[in-house]
Amino acid sequence: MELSSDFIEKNQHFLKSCILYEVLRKKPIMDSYRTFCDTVGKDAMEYPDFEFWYYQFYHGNRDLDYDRSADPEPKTFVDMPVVLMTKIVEYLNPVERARLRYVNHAIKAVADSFPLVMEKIEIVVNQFSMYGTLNKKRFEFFKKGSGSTLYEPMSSEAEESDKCFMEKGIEHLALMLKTPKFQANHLSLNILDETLNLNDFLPIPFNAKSVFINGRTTNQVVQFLSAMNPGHLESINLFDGVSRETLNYKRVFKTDQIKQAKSVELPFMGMKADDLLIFSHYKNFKCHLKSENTLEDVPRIRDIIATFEKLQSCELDYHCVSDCVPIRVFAMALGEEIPIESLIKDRHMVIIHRYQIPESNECLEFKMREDNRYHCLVNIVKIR
Amino acid sequence: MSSTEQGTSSAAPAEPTTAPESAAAPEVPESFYYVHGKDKVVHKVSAGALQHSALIHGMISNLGYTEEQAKANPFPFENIDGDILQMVVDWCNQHKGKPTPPEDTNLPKQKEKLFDLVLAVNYLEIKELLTYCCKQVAMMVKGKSPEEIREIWMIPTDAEDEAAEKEAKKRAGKEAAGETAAAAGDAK
Repeated sequence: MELSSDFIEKNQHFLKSCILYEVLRKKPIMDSYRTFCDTVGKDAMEYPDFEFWYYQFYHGNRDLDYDRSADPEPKTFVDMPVVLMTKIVEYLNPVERARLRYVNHAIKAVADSFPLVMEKIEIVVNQFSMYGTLNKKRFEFFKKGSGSTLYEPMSSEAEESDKCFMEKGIEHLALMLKTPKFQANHLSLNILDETLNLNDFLPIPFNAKSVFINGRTTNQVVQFLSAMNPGHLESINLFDGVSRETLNYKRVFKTDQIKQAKSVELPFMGMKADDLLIFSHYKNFKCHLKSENTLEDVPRIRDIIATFEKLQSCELDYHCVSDCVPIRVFAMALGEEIPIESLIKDRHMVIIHRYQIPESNECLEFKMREDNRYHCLVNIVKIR
Repeated sequence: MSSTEQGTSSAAPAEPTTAPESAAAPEVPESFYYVHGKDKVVHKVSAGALQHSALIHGMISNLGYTEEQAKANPFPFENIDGDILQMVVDWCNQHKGKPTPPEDTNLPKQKEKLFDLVLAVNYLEIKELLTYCCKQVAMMVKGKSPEEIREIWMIPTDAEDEAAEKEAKKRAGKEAAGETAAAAGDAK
């Protein structure tokens, strides 16, 4: 039950005693203020006044009748010249600076003078929750009835809301992600429910240097990939850990993002030797290849990769349909003699083969590593 | 005008012992200067402690005051409250001739003092102390929501800002109208 304004007016000592009680309990000021507002009402005392009395008592001055009328008007943050505001804001991290934007328009201008670069953003969405990290700061929104619950690691109490977890989660992320000049060095998206409404999830175009996307359908993957700023995006990693369908690589490769990236890592998409041509402009790539005729396909793979001018290295997860051991057939197809005693490294067979690119000083080094009965990993490095 | 003498005990020059460098270069007695704030309370501070302040250091470096001249001409800092100047003088004395540590935990926690301190330190150009103070102000809002930040730093909302601006315009308009009326009355 909140106290009436009349009672508060007539009993100022009572309010100060409440503050003194919190100080004696050594409770931090913000927690004290929350308890105070919850108990006696939000309008009982403004935070600046509460803070004044809190610190009076904290420093041992227990005079409840102290007359503040003679005190000089205290300075506040907005009394600082802009150069000092900027110096103070410099010590806040990107998440805190983004929050400043919602405090006041003048402070927003100060916050916006800093480019907002996040190191790593991880977002996971499923049917029941949305959680992740913003520069290692964790957030978790869970479905609770028709509303949601927010957990933050720094807060001991969960925050409840009538809004659904997706709406709350998007609001939480929008504080940061929809900031002008926002950039992320790495964005990781795990969308584990294909039915979720993902409109307005990310600002478009989203400035990320590298992105990891784990979606359940090609539509979702293409939707999120297309939200990235293609000129900014350098590295793409697509994952099919829980996909219900094989990603349609032809659709993925129509996106500007894939065309303009410098390196890509793709899941199994049913690609065959000739499909490698789509990687011709990359410095680095990783993909899965499926072959039904290794002896024919491997020389073709080698010849295609030999034409890639920008290539530094690539990795093929090679899947052989026949009954043969993939690493042996792959090496044989390259003309490599299989050692009688195979070279064993970390309990796996490793075979290295060098191929001199015709009419060039460059060569390709193939390092084949046995993965399992049906796969081998082939790491190819261009040596200049 | 009242006066306090700060830092005299720590400022007394040490007696040379057996150090050969001391024997080669006789120590010059340390000079002292005097400063006062809005409350006119005068603080005696050694030139060594005052070196932290680029503003005061620049003022005293070419003065060559004698002790009497310095005492007779305290530097007035009317824009700085007495208790704030006291804090600054204490800090300068504590850190006289010492390398400044990466953190200073002795700064006031009460923000109304801290903001005054930031402004004073900025005016006096005490670089290290300004860094500590700005960090301390930033620490106040670590992990806080926009609403909490607004409360802690006492920042008005945009609506409050607009209302204050309107009020100020209204007041200015009334004052201008009053002055015009008074001028017209005088002319008659």
